Amino acid sequence: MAETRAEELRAKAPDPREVQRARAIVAAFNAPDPEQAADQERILRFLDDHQDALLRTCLPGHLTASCLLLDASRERVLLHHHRKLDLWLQFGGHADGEGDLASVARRELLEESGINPSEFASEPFDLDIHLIPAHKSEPAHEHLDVRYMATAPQKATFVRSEESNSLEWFTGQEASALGLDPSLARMIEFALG
Amino acid sequence: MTSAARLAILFALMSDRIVFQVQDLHKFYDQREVLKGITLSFLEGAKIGLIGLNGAGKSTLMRIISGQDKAFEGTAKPVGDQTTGYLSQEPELYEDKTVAGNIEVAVGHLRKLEARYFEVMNLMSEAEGAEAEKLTLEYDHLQHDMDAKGIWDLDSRLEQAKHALQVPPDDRSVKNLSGGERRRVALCQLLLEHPDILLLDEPTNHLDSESIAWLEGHLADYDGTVILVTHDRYFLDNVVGWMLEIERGKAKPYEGNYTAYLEQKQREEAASSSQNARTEKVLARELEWIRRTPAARQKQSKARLKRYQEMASERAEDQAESVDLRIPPGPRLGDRVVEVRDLKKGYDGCTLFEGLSFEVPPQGKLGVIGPNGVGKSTLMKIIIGQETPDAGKVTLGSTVQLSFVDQSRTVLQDDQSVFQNITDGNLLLPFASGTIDSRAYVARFNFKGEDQQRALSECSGGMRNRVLLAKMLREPANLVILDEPTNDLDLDTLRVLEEAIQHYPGSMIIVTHDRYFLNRVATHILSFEGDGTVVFHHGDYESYKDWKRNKGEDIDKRSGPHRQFTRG
Repeated sequence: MAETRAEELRAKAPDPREVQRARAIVAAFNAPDPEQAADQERILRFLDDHQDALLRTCLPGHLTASCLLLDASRERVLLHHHRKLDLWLQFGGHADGEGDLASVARRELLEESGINPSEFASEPFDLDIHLIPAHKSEPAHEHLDVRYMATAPQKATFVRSEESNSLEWFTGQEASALGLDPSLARMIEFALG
Repeated sequence: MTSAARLAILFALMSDRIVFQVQDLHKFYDQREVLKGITLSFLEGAKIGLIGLNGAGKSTLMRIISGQDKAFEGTAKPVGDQTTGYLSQEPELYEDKTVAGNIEVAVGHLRKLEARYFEVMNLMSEAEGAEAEKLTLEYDHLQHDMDAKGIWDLDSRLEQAKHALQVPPDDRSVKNLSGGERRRVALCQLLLEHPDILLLDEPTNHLDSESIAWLEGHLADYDGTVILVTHDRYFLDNVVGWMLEIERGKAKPYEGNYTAYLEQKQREEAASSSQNARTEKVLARELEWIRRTPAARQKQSKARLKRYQEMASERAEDQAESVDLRIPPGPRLGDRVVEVRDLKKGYDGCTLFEGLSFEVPPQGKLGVIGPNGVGKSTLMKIIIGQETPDAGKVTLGSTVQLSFVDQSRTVLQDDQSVFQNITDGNLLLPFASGTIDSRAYVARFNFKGEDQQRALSECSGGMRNRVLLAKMLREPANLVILDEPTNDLDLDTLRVLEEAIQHYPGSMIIVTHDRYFLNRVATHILSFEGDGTVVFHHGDYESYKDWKRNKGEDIDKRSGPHRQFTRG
């Protein structure tokens, strides 16, 4: 199944309209610090230079979207331990040609956590570019990640997908003990204070 | 900006509550995949217009969201306990009940709430201790529901809805209702039921312009999510805040009303490639038209008449090729087309119209409007000679070749293909002074490639309508009468039809409730006012509205004694 989907995506031609859509979302982002402002600049330039920026076949890097999920009381975040990368991460994934990055983030959230958010902020709140190390036949490349925030319904139960080893709710304090990627720590710090 | 301030804004954005979630939805009809993996979230209170070609799967998606169609792959479910209500194209009613009985069923749960409210109020006066506390809590809840669902004035709302939608009298059995009457009963039922998610498939069909205006206001203020399919673009512009386009099995949301959608769409088409240059041009022309001020539009409609006269002197073959659909033109018209003098007609002692006189000029496009059942169809039948007037006379010019496009008269064969139905198997069709390849003719009605070979039985309602239109417009004529041509047509086809009519060098008489359509094509208006008077107006629908407004009448509002009745 995964193979045929990958093939299907490879066969897909880049759609400039979708790229424009993604570009408009990133351009409207109000960067809160110089670091994110620089990433925003780079992502915009990347979209202008690579017409296939939304496809994972674009090798220098490609657009991804992710979602930080808070619980209903906004005291904890749900993270998953990514099988391939062996890291605690927020939910997210490849744009796969879709320029509506909020929709991508929401799709990935549902696929990877089984949770239908009761609330979803329609604008991104964080941007980040990070390097994905080489894995099997895949060379090292960059993920240009556009990040959204959502809250889970009360008493939401998650369902683990095959991409993760486990899923867990963390308070801000617990999360900071995990030694997370600095940009993820930044998001959690921002969301939970 | 501080972190706290940014967070506050984000949380405000998140207060958009999701009421319905569709995840990787696939739908097959036999081997054909109609919906190819749709993922969408519907927000609370969003007013959404579904748009797409006939057969794209709009009704299918509505049926799936409504819960009526469960044969699909993927997820489609309401979040929490959201209720849905669906007006289908052919709604089901309780056949053994009267009109009033059917509507009572819809408000049954509200009546129950109301009864319990008064019951609890009585119980509270006698209860003590924990019991009293429990009742107080329930009372608070009930009071909240009474407010939210508008139960306090349920009866007057009921009367108002019945009146505004022209629901037939209470005591009539629904068995004997016409298709249009059944839909009005079902729509009234649904609005009173007040579901959280309201799904409407072509709600304006069979409604006159006054009912449409009322429904627009009602839906725009509707306390819930509304998803609707309609070909009425004014309706879309006035009601929706989102457009959802279904194309080639995928769904794509656009924020804004119909005009905003057109703008975004045009930008996208321009960005994509020159392949769609034609589509882009058609979109651009419609936009340009929308953006004009009403005054400029009127000026244009006067100019339009002049242009037709100039155009008529050109040879039809020389017309711009950028028009996608060309209605086969007939021989040149003389100066006289249709002349109506002192016409009178009535039934059973009831006069439909009297002293009716007007003329349709060469190349004029006459829009005929008015409520249902006031004599519009009767007038058409008199013009084509199917009925005789009680007094007065209709004269057709000696050069007139008339074609009456009547949906009920043309018969289609379900077991034959789209192509067969339209062409009767002819490979060439008469066109202008020569012939046209049948396939090219059929393609002009937006039937591409394999669609031409599709059996009619596999076609959606709107596609059938296009087949009908193509078949009926096949015969070259110079005076065409169209009776409700826009019902169930998709917007792409409508847009093309409008352009075709604008470029058509003959005269037309068009009976329709579609105000947008009228504004784009009509050069004159004949309005049945509903009280036996019929007004002939030089100019389009908008200028007719202005003229009425200057007289102190707003035609989007029902006037007279009905109004008081609704106060109840």
